[in-house]
Amino acid sequence: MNKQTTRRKFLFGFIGAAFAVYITGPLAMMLKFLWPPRKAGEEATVVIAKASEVPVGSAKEKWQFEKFPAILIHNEEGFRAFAVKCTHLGCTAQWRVEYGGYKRPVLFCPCHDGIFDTKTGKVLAGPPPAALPEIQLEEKDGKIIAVRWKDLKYVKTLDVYKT
Amino acid sequence: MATLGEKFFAWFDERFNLKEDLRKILKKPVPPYATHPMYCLGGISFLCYLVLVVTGILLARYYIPTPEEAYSSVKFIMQEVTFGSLFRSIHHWAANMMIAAVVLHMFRVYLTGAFKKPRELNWIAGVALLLTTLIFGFSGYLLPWDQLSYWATTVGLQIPASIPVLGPAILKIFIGGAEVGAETLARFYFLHVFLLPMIVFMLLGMHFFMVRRQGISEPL
Repeated sequence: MNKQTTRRKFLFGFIGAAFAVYITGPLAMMLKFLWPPRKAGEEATVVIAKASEVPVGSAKEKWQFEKFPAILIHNEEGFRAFAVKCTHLGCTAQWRVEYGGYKRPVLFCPCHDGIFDTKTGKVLAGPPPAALPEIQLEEKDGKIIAVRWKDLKYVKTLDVYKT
Repeated sequence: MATLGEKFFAWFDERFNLKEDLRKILKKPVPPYATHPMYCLGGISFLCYLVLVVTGILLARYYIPTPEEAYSSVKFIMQEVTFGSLFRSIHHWAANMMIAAVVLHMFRVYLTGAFKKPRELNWIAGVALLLTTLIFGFSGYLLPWDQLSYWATTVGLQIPASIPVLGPAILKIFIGGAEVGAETLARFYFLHVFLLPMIVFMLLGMHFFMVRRQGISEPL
């Protein structure tokens, strides 16, 4: 027998491969389904950055906690983290070293000029009805890790944080 | 030059001598008249059943059959579990499709006279399958444990309860108490995931065996 690939064998292989691709999708979905989803309030650790990457007076943006945009702030008192989905209508508040009359860093929401304090997350000006929720941090091996909401009950009272 | 599949089959064939039996089972030609869409309804019902078995096993992973947890576990499936709403929706629609396909299958068999001698017993097995399918749907309908399913069950159980003489006894067996409650939920869950699947499995075995032995009846 020669080792030549016959048309029949090629077509069978082709159909087999197509079938394998076709069946992998549903199987992967079933596995994903069976994987237990985290219940709200369970620990959701996110490694944000190395402590050395964020010097005093700076912040790290563009990471997520529980699917919400969040910010890590380093000031003279230490590290702090907040979710920055604005409590007004859900835009993402940004880090500003100075803004308007504030000669210190603030969190600024560009949609309707909401301004939040970087130490407490409280509203300084503008339409937001409530403070930004704070995230509990831990430091381990020089890395800053977001662990859980500092006050889960408070987060649940915020309309824009409903999932 | 044997392919991987051929080698795999040869390993089993060497030990169990399958080739001849499998050829008989798998290579049996389908008569040309039986490729008409009207003759596919039974197969469609079976396909729906397979889909329901797979998605049902998946849903059983999260569903909790107690009055306190039933509704919230269904809500959890729909809102939290990845692809949860997809698999529950497939289960829901496949169940609806299956009942439609089973009823249409019955019409086809009736209108083409396929129930006549020698196929009387297969007709009876088919009617039993129709009834089990309906009870399947009815028992599954209670499981989400919301207002709709609660009252649908309360009202629906009046149908068997109206059977003369036996009615009250049948009602009591289904309901397990004075009114629809935790007992009923447990009983319907048991029916839906344990008893009925076994009954359908056995009836399908008989149904398929008989149609293979007797062949598909010719059209009018």
